[in-house]
Amino acid sequence: MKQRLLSLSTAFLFAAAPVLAQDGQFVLADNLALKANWAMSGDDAFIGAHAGCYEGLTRVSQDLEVEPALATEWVLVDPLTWEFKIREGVTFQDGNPLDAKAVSDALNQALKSEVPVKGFSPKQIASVEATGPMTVTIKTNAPLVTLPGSVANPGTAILSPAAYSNDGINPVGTCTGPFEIVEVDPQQYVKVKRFDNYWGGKATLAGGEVRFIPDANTRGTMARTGEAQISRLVPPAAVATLSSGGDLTVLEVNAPRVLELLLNNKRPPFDNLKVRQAIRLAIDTTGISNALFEGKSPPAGDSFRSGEAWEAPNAPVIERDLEKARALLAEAGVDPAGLKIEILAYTGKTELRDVSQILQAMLTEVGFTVDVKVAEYSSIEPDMLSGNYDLALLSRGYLTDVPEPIGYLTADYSCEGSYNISQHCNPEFDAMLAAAAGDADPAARNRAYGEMAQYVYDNAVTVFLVNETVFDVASSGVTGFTPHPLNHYVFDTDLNVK
Amino acid sequence: MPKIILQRVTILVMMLFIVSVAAFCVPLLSDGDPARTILLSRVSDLDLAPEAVEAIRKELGLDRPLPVQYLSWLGAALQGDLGYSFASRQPVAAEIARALGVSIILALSALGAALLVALPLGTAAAMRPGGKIDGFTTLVIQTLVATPEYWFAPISILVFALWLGILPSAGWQGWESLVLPAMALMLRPMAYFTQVTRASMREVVAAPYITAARARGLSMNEAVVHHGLRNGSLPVVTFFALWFAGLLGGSVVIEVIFAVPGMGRLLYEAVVNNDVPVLQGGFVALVGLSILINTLADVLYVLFNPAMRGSHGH
Repeated sequence: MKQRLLSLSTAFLFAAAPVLAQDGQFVLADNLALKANWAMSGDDAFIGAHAGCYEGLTRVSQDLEVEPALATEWVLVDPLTWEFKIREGVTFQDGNPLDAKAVSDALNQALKSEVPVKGFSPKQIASVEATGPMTVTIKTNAPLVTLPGSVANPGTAILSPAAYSNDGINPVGTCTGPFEIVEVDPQQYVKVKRFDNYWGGKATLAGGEVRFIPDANTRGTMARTGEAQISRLVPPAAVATLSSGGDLTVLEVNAPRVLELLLNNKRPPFDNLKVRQAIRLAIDTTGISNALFEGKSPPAGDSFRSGEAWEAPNAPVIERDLEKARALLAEAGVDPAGLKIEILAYTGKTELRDVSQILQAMLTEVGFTVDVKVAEYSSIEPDMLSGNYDLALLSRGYLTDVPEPIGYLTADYSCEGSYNISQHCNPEFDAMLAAAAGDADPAARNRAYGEMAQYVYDNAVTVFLVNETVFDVASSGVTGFTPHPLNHYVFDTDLNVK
Repeated sequence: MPKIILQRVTILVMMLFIVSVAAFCVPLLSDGDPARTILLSRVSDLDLAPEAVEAIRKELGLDRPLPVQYLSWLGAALQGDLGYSFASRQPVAAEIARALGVSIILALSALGAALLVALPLGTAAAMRPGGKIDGFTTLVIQTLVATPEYWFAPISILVFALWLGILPSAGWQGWESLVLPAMALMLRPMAYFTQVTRASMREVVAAPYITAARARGLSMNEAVVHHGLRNGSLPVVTFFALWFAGLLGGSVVIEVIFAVPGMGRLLYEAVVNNDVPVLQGGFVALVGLSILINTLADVLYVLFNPAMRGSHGH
């Protein structure tokens, strides 16, 4: 209730006009905060990347292509061996030169960390060695065709040897990026200044600050007052007001994330395809998109957004059809009136409560008796993972470790998947996954991902509700900023403000 | 006086033990796996690598039996080592000291400002019961008591940060960033202080020693200022201590809205993240401080009020 009242009052706040903008430092109001003493395995590494400090061997472009960064080229020598050529002429911010040894030392530090970096852990990586002055060889335990994408992850950033000690990681003055971290207050901010010897050319901005602001409404307010030149992830409800003044630019980000209704594919009656299809037909995804997301997050067919390289070839948005839904239930021999089902949702994402109530109403119209349970994610997760549930709402990112969805498809839909909440298991699907994982041709892999998405759609394993859109806000004078789809870079060489 | 201190020390030791056990048990209320919850606090991704979960379980000693975990913490705590935060891996004592410093400044500023308004307003209301000032004071008290902080905070941002542009809307850098959170926090204590001052001063105004002072030729205002204020403000001391102890860990909403890195936010995040060492250390620090503050308030009460000294053995 308090949260709702807060949202209402803050919505009123957004209706006001801004008065003045502050001069001085460029401030990014970030939704992330330093949490684990710069551990590479978590969000802290993303703060290093936002700050323009961290760089990896590769980087991911706006259209999700893997591009050279500290490595200029890479080649798959044999199915288990990758060779990376390190960029010449790069120096760390502490003056040390970048060479193969520095890179292998940094990557071995990541491998040795107590909590492994996702996508680059000893489970996947057998060894990292400097095999020449400017050549690094990475051996994997199994074919890992997505490795060039893995080393773009901020968790695999290359820092100077001085950054690593028994006390953890210290990024101050030890990165290679266009900006150097000069001051850290773990509770509040990271301050940066331009690194004039950056290999990619001098950045335009002299410096700035990444400020940790946990409350989305406050981040929006900071954009309005001019205290922040960029505010990340502002509340969708505030977008209309924020964009109306002309002083701010609201930037829509097509997040690689889908809001989905997971069905327990092992538990009757959801183990029956017709029942799953009936549930999908009972849900009006277009209505949910319009009612709760003002149409900005489009209704989903499959998990992937229309236009993405791995979208399912034929997965249109399902139109709601209650008659068909009832007919399918009858064909399956299921009387919804005799069924009491429960939808799980978690509090960490405020809109899930509303979505669950809308779903409750929609499914009730087919005849089901539906309960809703909304709780902290950590308290419902054990039931979800163990398959002790009926239906569960989830906001799921599908490009979390590499810039292609193989990690998501494996974790969520393979028989041994670590996040297989759907309890789905089909050896044929696993075979498709294995084939994609060993295919060195990116285009062929993308087609394979599309086929797997089509399989999930055709079998109604999950009901996909909306492809999520998130919103950043920038002062109208800000140039050189485009929100990155994987949330990697903000302070970059072109970033500037008039 | 020694009796008060002995009583309080006994209570302190018992309370610290109880809260440390209670804090240790908080994560048990959730069905979740503590190792997963802690890892979830560090990453935005819900799909956790199983090897990472196991690594963190081992790293934090969560694979040991619960009594062993508690006794291990207690042994270290008795030697002054509150351990390391599960989430941030920073020393708990340092995290608490930093957050407590922020919360003490915020609470004292809010309560100090509340007193500055409440004492004269309550006194003025008590001097003319039923008068215009009294009516106005009653209206203010009723309004402020019913004003939620989470409503007032955005309104104050609207006025001072957006419209007037004279104060920052969030953060904790410089005195300017103290003003709005302190304003939001001072409202309810101000209302209570005013109410208590008014009630207390009404008794004082009717007291024989005020009549005697007036008989010696002092005006009512002089009599109240010279002889009544000290007595009239005694109950406020007790309320001040109670509010101070409460605000140290109890201003979560304000600390989140204004991005203030204080004790409330630290403990709130620790609860969400199952960060047991921070919860234990934080609760122990707050309870210890709370008892200390109230003991000090009692001592001050005795010092202010000579009549109380006799009742404690003088």
